[in-house]
Amino acid sequence: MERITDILISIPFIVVATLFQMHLADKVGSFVSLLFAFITTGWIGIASRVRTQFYRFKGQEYILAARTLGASDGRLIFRHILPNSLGTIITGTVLIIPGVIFSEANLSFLGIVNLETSGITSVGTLLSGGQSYLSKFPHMIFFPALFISLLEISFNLFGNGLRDAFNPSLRGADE
Amino acid sequence: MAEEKKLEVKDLRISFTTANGKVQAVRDISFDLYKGETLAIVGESGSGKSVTSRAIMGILAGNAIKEGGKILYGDKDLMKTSEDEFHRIRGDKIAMVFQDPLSSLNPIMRVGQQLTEAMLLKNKTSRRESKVAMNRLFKALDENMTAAGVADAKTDLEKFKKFGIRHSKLESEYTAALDYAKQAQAEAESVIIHIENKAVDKLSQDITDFCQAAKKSVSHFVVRDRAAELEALLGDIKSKTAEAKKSKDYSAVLEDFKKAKSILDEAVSFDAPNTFTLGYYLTFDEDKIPDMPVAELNELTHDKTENEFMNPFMRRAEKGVRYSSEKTDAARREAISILKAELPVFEKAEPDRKECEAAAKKMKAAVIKCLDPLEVIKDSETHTFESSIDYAVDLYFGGFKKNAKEEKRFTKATEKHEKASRGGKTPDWEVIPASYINLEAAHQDMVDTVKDMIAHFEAQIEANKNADFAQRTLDIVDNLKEQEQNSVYRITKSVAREKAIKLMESVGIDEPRRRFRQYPFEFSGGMRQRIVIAIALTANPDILICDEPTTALDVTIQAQILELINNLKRERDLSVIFITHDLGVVANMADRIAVMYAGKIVEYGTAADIFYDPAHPYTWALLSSVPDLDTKEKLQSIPGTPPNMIYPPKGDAFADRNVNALVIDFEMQPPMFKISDTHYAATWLLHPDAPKIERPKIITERIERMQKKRGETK
Repeated sequence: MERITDILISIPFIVVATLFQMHLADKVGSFVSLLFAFITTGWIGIASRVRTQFYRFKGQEYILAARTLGASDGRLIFRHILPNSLGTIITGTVLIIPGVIFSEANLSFLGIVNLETSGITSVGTLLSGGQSYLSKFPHMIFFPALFISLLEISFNLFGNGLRDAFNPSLRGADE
Repeated sequence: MAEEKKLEVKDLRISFTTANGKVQAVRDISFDLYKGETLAIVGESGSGKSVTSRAIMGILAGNAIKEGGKILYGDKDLMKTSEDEFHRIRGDKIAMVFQDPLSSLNPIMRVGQQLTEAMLLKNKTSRRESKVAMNRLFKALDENMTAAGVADAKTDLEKFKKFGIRHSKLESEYTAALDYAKQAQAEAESVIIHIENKAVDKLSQDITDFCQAAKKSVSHFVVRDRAAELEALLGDIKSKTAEAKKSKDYSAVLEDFKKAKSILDEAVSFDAPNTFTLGYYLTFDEDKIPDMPVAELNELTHDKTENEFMNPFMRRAEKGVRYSSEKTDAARREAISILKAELPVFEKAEPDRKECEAAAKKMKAAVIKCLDPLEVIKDSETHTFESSIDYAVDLYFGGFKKNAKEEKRFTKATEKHEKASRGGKTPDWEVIPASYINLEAAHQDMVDTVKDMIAHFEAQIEANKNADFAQRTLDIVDNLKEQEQNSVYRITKSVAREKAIKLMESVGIDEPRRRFRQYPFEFSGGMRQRIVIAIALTANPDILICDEPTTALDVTIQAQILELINNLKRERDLSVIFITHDLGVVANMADRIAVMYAGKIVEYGTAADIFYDPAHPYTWALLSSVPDLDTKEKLQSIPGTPPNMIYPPKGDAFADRNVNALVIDFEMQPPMFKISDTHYAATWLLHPDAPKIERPKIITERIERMQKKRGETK
């Protein structure tokens, strides 16, 4: 299973998105086909992250200790391993959001995806539209760029905050 | 009366497969663990101590091969127990304390949660199991009493069951109320201290807890006469707390708390009612608890129950027990004849698989009939015969089957190896031998399993000749009562919490109420180890395995922890297996000591035997490397390292590092020589033909000093 995800993860996202746009966009619209592209590739990273986390905690001595107290496998998974790995998993999940936003902007900037056919605009489209007026009206690039930077930073900070919240040893200070 | 054996390890052999070959970690270890004693297993790292303990817990690593032997516990052989069954044994039967307190606690679970987890978990299953065991015992009694010709066995048992239900209800009501009273008492004490010290943060939560617990403590045998007073106080406390919460001034409730506490103090010290006889009284005499002091009540109900029911019932039940025992003995005699008849099939030089399996089937059918349904202490040998013989047969023939495939690989690998070495290079790898299983030993195992069973049956028949059936009947009835109680004993979350806090107190943790809500990282190492021990004790295990519990701690904490384990052992009549590499640690802990070296027990005896009369050169070496105050000379270390167990030495494993090794030490493994009834050692020095070799001076001097000191203190 891990080997299969290794192979899948090595396929560049941009290729997958392009293929979906070429073959699916005519039928269901470009926005839906973009979503499809994100979903078909997005699970891979999380899957391997969850797997690593579970393997990491599975070998810990306190899991063994809980086992010697008679905890069943299901209990070990849901009461001991999952809560321990939950912090990292949720943080990772939140950090995917800015990644997705950025790659969407990327795709529409390059013109692979054209969301305007579905009646939606995107930062990428704004940027690529403003590119040709860069020397005369620099603010046309500046504001979308500022917007996307702020978005990225705030999601990253949000992720960091979540990580701290899930770790009781960092939480103890203000209690 | 002989001491009760809790755990029996017999000829345990465990190996590990590695890339370089098979490592023999444990070779033929046998020891017994009795109730309430501490057995210390001492040895260097890699001597197989931890592997033994892990085999008992069923947590061996994945590459372990269980080559043979038995670990008998109750009606199970732990070597052949499935993971599912182990879930039931671990925790409330056998618990373990690990070496490193830093990593054996879950970092993101509060300490309290971890403490109560096992309690809540185990309570559910133990209730269910008790019910099953109880019903089975009833049924067996019924059958045997009827067969023995007791006319009204059915009505007797119906009666017993009927008031048994009443008894368990009364008992659970009483214990619950008492538990709540104790909890309320403790809460009240802590609240009073907090108010007096003006530490009133979060106090309202504690007060609410107290009110809830105090309310539930009202019952016939706990808070009764002053129940109205207590309830009035509770109402008063509640209304005053609401005001105090705003003003942060709790002094108004202090007086109420003191009064409430005095009521509870009194309630907790009341005599306990005999719920068993009371159950009888209420069911068959008068359905109302008569109004008299508890001591008198107990006497009244006791007399009534004994005269009206118990005494005649016991006489009749005894007939059933006797009948059942005689029937079982007859079955045993038959089984012995079958086993003896089938034994040659296994003893043949080259046994046939089909024949063996058929014989095993016949034997299993005969042996399974030999279980006395009315036994209280389970007969582990008979229970495990089926799995043992199956395992032995499978191992032997499975070994053959695997060979064909392995052999091919082996020849191929050897060719490759030779080719490489012919080319002038020495290859840096070795050929893994074809067979991981020693066929000879497996064959012997099969034969021994049958022979052991015969010997065991013969011993049992002999023992039954002068058995005390009245005592046995009493044991059975006691067991029934206990199962009845267990099957209704429910641990709720708040009870579990109170128990956990008491446990934390008993392992020496200050302010357990506050500590209960903390995370493991807020504790120091010694405190964490205490928590780990407390967790291991939560489900009230029979056997506690301590795997180097003090190695990671500093000396002062070490002494405290050892003292703690000792005290707990005494209080709860625990059997402890204590694993360590430090003889100094076990000196005042262990009742018996087993010294292990290279997967074998080289010396085995009581603590006095090992310390005052060590016989094996390895024990000498260990003893002379322990520092003490009076030793002036340089401490001796043991030269070299333990042998590589991929290639176990032919002779005594310690010979290489032994300055005084004899020639025979390199050629033959020494058998266990008996020094006294309790003391055994495996060294050729004890052979009558051996030259006399003195113990090292450092030890003889130390023993003299110790004996002198002992004489002085006496």
